[in-house]
Amino acid sequence: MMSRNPFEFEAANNLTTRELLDYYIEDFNYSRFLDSKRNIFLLGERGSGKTMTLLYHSFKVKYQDSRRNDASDLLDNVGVHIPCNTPLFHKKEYLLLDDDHKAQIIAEHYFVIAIVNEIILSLSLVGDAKEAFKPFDKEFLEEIGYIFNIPSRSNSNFLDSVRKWIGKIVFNTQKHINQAENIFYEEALSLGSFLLPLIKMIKQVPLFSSTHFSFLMDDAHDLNIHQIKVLNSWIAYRDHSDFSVKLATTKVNKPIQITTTGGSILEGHDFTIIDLEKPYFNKDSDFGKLARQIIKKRLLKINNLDIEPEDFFPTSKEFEAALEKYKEIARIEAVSIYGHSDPKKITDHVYKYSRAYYFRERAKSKANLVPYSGFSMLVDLSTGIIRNLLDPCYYMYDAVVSEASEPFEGIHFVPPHTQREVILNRSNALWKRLENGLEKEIEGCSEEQGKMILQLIDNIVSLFRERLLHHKSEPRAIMFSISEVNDASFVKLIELLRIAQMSQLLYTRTGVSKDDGKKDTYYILNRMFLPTRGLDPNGQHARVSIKSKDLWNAAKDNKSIPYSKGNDNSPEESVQPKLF
Amino acid sequence: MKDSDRPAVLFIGLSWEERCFLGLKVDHKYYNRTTKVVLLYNEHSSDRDAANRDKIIQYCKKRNIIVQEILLKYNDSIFNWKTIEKAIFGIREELGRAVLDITTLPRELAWTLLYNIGKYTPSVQYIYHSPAKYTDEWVCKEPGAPRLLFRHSGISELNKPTALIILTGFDEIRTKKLVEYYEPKFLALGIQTGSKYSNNVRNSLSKHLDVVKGEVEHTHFSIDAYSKEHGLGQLNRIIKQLRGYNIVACSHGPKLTLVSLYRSHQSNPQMALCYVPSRLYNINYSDGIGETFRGVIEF
Repeated sequence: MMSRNPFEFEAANNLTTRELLDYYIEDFNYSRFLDSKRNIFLLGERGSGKTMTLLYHSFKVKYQDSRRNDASDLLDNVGVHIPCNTPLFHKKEYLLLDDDHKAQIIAEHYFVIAIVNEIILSLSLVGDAKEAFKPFDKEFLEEIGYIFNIPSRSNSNFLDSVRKWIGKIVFNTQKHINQAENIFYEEALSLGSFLLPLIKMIKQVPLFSSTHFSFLMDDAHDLNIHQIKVLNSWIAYRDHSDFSVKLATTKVNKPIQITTTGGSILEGHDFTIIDLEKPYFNKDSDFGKLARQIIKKRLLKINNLDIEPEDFFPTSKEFEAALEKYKEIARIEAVSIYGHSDPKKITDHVYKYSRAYYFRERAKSKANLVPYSGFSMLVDLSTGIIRNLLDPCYYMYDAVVSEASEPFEGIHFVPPHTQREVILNRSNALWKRLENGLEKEIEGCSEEQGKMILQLIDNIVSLFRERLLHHKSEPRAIMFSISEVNDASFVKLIELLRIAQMSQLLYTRTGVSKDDGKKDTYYILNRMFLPTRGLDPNGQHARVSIKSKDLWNAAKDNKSIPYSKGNDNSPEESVQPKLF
Repeated sequence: MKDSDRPAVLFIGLSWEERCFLGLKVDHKYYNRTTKVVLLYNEHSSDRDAANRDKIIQYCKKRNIIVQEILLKYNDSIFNWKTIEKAIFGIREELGRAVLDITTLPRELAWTLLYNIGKYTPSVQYIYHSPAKYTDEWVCKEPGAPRLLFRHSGISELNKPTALIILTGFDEIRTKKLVEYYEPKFLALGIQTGSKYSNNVRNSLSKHLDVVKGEVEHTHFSIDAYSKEHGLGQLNRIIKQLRGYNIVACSHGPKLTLVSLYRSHQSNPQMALCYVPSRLYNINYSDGIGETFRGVIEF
């Protein structure tokens, strides 16, 4: 019997709670924010783990985590996960209304329905909930039932009654909107008219008196302008003792910050940003440690294999030996330059040049003979995105299974030659995707833009290759920042970069500029582009400064990006590790 | 009186394809008492369509057929819905004689017309003219964001996962786009049977599965758009199997599946109809005119 591929990357929403708990690695840096009463924007491109993070912090998942001994602390913060990428939120009939205000009322109504449903379901999980509500059932039903016409029978339980009623409301709303002459639903619910009063009622029950509700709004980048304005208005609400909004969105399509009344929400004042895309992603970085835990956990839970990732994805012996050889070559060179008196200079020299010398040597042969392999290589290639980590792992596992002989006895490691083959295949596939034209898959991308992005990336990678082969001081720099952004070309360039980001071909990070200490954006290509060109995905802590007009010329006219081989007019910046 | 002898109001989507005008001639030969042609056209491709527009207008003028033009906007579903709604209301008295030529009508517009015509008449006849051949190159590209059809966006139940039904066509990127957009729990691919227009190669199951590998649980089923019911039976069977899901369904591939999907929606209004626009269509999209299919949709 074939074992299940432990590196499947199904959308987190489609995982069972058990699978989610099996896969997820908690990051305590985020937990303290997500468990707080603050409004949070959780930023990350597709595959960075936004949904997993929100789901993990939802009450439903936390409550079912059997590792927890005491569930009472869970009631301090009840997270209700609301995926915005559902047919309900994709319903857009209210856009036919000529009145924006009415459109926003309907948008808010859908949010309220979904949130109330999740609150009821979450609280119903608590074993004592029904008992806790019993003294209040009649009073609550009378109060709310009178206003909203919620039917109740004697011995009705409040939570059940509201749940059934909400189910009816969601049906009636949609039926009305699909069929009635007048699309507007007169009995729409809002934060103020129903959700907040409901929460206040729940908090009258002693068991829930300290409960704070976190609305975990997922995939907010898919929402339209009316929906966004409604959520922003909730974020702007002054009192967050009872509820807060945690909103997950991509960076590229980060929602606008305007409210329904035309005001705006401000970072710092109204919300805090958490960026899920880790700035550094070698195996010793925070992401590297996370990657290790992810791989280990999946292999253990799904394949019952307790093994270190380095053993499951061993590095090619040839590669290891070659890297050692070139470390020694670089060390001898360093000693000849600096002598023995400054060990740090020797270490830095070895760090900068040993791998560069190896890759230069490989580049001289026509075939790409770099034996890309090893867990550390997979971490580098992931570019700090979990999905990018799992993708080659999935195909590697698949490849080994398909070559396995009967009877199948499980897989204990992926041979280096298989790893190399898959890495080169996935690298070729990424280039192919670009060559086929992004306009086929990205909304708003024209054929011309698709071609320009191909040319842009091709020339950037060519630049990195030239630097690897010839550059004196930073041969392995594979990140870049853009200079002379006041040039007219930058405005046109930024649209291409945006599309490339949406396609997960390019990622951005924020660092501190060495020149003036201001915040600076730097760009990292999806590192899976590099193996096909014989480049080293490991990179080094430096970034190349490229002029905006040079990048634009590369995109538009396929011109090579100029650079100098030394330190003079191509200023590189060393990136300080551990900035975040 | 035979249907073909009744005065008819013919709805046509203007296009540069040969079968747009050739189809009108076939339609008029059949419905020889056509009194009006309602011509829907798109300002985005007005240059490309101009030649056929002139031919249609001249043809109708010679035969004393009134031409009523409805100008629509590319990718503006709100404008288009309201414009069609208003136009249909204006001719509601004539809709007892409506005939819908879906040959070169975008699916979203065809469904919009069906809904609005259905408000005023118990049934409408439809016609579809297949081409003699499709281009060997790409047929369409630059897909936009999927969107649910107004008033046909289904009735979702809270706590149910999403299932996506895609009646596939030549473009597997549209399949990928739909799966990425809706992130369904379950995907059902409806694959056209047969090798007409090299369908077995250009619309193969493996092509569509390749783009969604590892991402979603899936099944597939065969569908024959050219059969009498245009695959309605197969469609309803799969819908029944997906009762535990909120279903979103999309028609790519043979145009006749828009009819079966619409009929399916009529008996399963909880299912949402979805459309993926394309910005570009190959000028050599198709050649000539082939077989003609006719039927009736009851409301």
